[in-house]
Amino acid sequence: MVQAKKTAAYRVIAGPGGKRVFRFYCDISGELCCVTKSIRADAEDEALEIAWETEGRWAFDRCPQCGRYVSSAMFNINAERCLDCAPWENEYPVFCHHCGIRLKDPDAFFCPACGARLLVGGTEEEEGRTE
Amino acid sequence: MTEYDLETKKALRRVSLLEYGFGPETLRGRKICPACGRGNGAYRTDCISCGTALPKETLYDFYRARHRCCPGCGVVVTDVAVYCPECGTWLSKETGAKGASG
Repeated sequence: MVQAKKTAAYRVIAGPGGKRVFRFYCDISGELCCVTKSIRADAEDEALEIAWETEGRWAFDRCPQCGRYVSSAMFNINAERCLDCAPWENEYPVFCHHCGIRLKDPDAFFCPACGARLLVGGTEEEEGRTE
Repeated sequence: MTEYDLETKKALRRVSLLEYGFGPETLRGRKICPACGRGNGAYRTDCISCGTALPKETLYDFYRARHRCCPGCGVVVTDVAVYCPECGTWLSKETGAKGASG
């Protein structure tokens, strides 16, 4: 079950007059993805919520498998998961990853010899078999 | 599909992924500053934002270190792969490093 994570990793820079600037980072690579404008609020939690909802969240992709917020670079858009959960796969594989035969049709979804799905998209199925 | 069609499709896909900041080419072209977290071009030696010396490793190296890699061609392979989809090398269960945490 995915643990609900409210925001990406962040640091707060407190300014004068109760203003705060939030810096949001990719949960995998640590890349700085968003620096918010100064936000004034009574409590830090309140400022964080405003910063995240108005600016931060739009700079990230959320992985539905692990719940982390990551930069575009660390997101597999084909599998719609982060790169830790689903590493990049060549969309036109040359060999079947399951039985090793050379593929003749680069657009095929399944191996003509063993029936394995050619792009597993981060699946946790045993050896990528479909049946 | 002819070889030409396939290469054209691959090239178009690479360009569109790069444009939106996704894909292996984006990873190869980026380094992260260890001090401020700013993303820098892979060609840079110091951070454009804070001047800190950047590591030699790109985001792609960081990504490779977290996954299984083919010993034949070096490409990242999924956990379920028995053969490398790029070069056909047989992958033993122990192939490559995988340091990714949940």
